Amino acid sequence: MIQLLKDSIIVPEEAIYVDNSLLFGALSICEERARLSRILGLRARVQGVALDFGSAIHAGVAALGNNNNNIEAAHLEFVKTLKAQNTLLPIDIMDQEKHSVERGLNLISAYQERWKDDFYETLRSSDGKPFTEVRFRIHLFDWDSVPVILCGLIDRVAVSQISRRIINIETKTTGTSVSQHALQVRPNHQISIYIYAIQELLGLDVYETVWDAIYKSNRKPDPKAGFWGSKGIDIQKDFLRTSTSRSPRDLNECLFDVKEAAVKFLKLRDSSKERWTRTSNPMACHIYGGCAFQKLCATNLDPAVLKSDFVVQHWKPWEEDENV
Amino acid sequence: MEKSILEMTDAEVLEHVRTIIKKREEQTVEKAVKKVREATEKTVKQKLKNVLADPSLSLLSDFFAEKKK
Repeated sequence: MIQLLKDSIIVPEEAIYVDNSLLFGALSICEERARLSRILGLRARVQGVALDFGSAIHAGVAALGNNNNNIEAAHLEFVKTLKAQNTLLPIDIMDQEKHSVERGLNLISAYQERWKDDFYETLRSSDGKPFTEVRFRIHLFDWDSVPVILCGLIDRVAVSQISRRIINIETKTTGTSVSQHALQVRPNHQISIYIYAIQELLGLDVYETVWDAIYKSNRKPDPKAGFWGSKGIDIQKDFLRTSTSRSPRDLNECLFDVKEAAVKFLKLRDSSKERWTRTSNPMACHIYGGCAFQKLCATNLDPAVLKSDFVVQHWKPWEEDENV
Repeated sequence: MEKSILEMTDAEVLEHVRTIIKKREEQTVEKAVKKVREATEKTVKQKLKNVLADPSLSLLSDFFAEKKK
């Protein structure tokens, strides 16, 4: 895994890490969710299978980019990633649970087939390392003399074989149709942050971002629906790539929002509030596979639920990667 | 109960999925063959019935009637 950090920056141990998911996911959806995950460091003992599935698909797709589209390598990486998460994912696609090992393997095969003729080549460092799953850190500002670091994980940086321009490829698995999902490219702070990071840390101009959506259907195999249909896949409808670009002005505006959101988080953190405001939108508890803290909120932070369902594991993205 | 992937090696998981797919394909083929066989039997029986009911072919019905005895 490649890690990007400006040479001139020394990050002390007490540095405060923030990322897109905290600032524009948790914090903007439900402050309490941000507190439970990033201040108390609570992690569900059993992670949802949707999350296991999503990260394994990401790993499989990254392996395709790293290994000249080799499907065996991608399948193995998918399985390895699932196992590393101690997943409870069922194997058979006929299971009631829509996420399954079989569906994941089929999706990766179909993804490879769908995009095998694209003209994106994974960018490689001078020593040949592929720019896939690239961790980055950017110094935002100091808060009481402690550096606040914006970090993230870029899926893939590629080069167009036609124009030789730099392309940021962001792969997403989604339960909503890919055409709906494509509407999320703007506004989208994650895309802007990643473009900013590539430009800032690699000194490369990013021509565009390809928002690479993979639809997780609950289709069962249908032998009458052709080769992919017999695998529960619609190869035309389950994959969609949407291009989006950002101007320097867009990036400046995004950076403004990032800093504002980080300050909001830090002020809340330093306040003496015992509990932060819960979302007033009940649907917010159910998006992206459902909030991991639903049960905890529903029981008003019952210590028994806290003990049985959660562990304390503070989020330290950089330390996790150093062990990779 | 189905084995968890945590109890298998990576290669075993892939092999297991291939086996599931193969089994499902075999079942599909078996079902299709059964359907065709049943449809063919039905058609043949019906055709035979028609033939036997045809008065112009009474010789043939006599022959079968004789055989039944």
